Amino acid sequence: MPLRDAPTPRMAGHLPFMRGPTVALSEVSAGQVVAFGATLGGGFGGSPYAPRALRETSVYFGSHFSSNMKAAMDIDRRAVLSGTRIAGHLVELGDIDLDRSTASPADCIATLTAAICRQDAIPLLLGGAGNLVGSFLEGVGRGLGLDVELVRVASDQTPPAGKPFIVQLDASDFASIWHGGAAWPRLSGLSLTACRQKMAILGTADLAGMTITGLDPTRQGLSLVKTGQRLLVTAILDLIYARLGALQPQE
Amino acid sequence: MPEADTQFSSPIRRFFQARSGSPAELRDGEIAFVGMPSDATHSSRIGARFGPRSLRHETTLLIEKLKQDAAGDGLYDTRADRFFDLAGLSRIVDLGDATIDENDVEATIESIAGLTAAAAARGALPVAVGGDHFNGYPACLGVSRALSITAPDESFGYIHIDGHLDYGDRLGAWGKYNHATNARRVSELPNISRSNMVWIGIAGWVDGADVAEIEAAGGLIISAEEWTRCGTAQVAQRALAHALKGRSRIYLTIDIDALDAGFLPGTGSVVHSEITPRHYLDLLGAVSAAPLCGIDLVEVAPPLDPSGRSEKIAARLLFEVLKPRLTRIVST
Repeated sequence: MPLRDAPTPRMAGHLPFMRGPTVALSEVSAGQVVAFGATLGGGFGGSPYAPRALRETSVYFGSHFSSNMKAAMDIDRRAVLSGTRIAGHLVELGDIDLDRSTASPADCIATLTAAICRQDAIPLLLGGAGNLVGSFLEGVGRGLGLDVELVRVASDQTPPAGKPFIVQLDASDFASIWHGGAAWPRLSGLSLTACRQKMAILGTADLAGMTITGLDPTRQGLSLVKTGQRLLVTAILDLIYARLGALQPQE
Repeated sequence: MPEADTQFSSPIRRFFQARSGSPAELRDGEIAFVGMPSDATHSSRIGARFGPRSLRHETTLLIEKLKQDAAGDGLYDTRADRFFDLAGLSRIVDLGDATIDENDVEATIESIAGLTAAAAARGALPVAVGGDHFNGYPACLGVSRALSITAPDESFGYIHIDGHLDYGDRLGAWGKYNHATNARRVSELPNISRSNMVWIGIAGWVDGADVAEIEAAGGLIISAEEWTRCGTAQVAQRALAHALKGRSRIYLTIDIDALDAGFLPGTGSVVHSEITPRHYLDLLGAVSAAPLCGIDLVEVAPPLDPSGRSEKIAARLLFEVLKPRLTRIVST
């Protein structure tokens, strides 16, 4: 096939999360998962570059829109991905413009998160450092007008009964043996399998928001697609798919 | 000024310090290495064209170390609890690299297939080292052509260890010849038995239509999750039984990217399979005694792993799969 007739290369062009449509806040609909980035490092070297890195990696997983695949299947679970459960249900706002905002970064995150929640949508924060999660939690609580709980993926917490919660997935939740991209390496963290199993449970409960934090994509040595990025995106997609009901058993 | 009897090592590396040779010099039972330094058929992270060069280096270092360790009672195999020597090393011949034409994939196919066909026709075991995984197709094509002459009434089985199915029909600008279509091209060979094709280590997202087609044809897919859950011994037993059912030969393709990227990042298409080097070594140890008619090992991309561990693991995998042919038990 001549190159000019080929599909757009996966890594080229505008790269919103999972290549979902980029929308304005006013266009967000109820039930959507709404991604936005916060390029704040919190004192870590490369965390401000993480939102971009996570978006780059996420396009590898855009199987639902790939012309190369007839039906995306999770071979481990023998489950098929429903494109119609994702298209239109996963959108992207872009990065919070911290340079032009007069409010503090914490206020910016809380205000935007609250606005998304008021539209009955589910915010997905692409961090950024782990300490951003406090502002995010405050925003979800403000938007819902409810007390909201924080669930750390690597903890023993289970979804709180009858209470909304947010999930924080941090790069350091994974055991360091599996990757090289965390700001804070950890020896006692999870494997991807354990993380995915937990995500599948959390995604079907009263999930009100999700965050990815703690990635430092500037760490050298693993080239463009770093293993930590892929771990994080693989795991967060399980949470999103569970929330959207996008995985269906193979017939 | 060195003394007259100073020992020098050769600046030219060959697989496992083998002798260089041409296909015409091969004898029955020998092992014929072929380099396939091409990653022009890879669609994303390239670097596997440096695989043959780095594996010539790493297998040389490995064999030098083993020779040092073998002085005395021989090498001790901790898992098998026995001593062995390296008596089979003299059976290896390095045929050099196939000619790669990045602008002419058909010419590259013929170049690689010509070498593996010549080796297989003389009774040698072709071991082709890539390169991206597409090159596994021409390596197998050559074996297929040789078998169509030496065993015209037989079909052969196929074991594909990989993080990916590689069963697409086309991929974007690369068309039908690329690192995601090689297993389908193999399945189209006239003397492959599709019902004896086995995939091991498949991880993550695949095309469900490919899975359905493979299984409808009688093929067997063992995912990485199943491998870790059931254990290597059971997986190897099932795979060999399936690939050899009614057949007497298996072609084995070894894509190192079945290993979890946490252990082996130096490859083009990384997966998080939770397959460890120990899983992989044990699996290759289990299939190494099978009646193999050809082997390829692909996707070692040294530029993507500055730590250098990826090619070291790959060299060890090569040794493990050839161990019954390279070693001799000297005592238990």
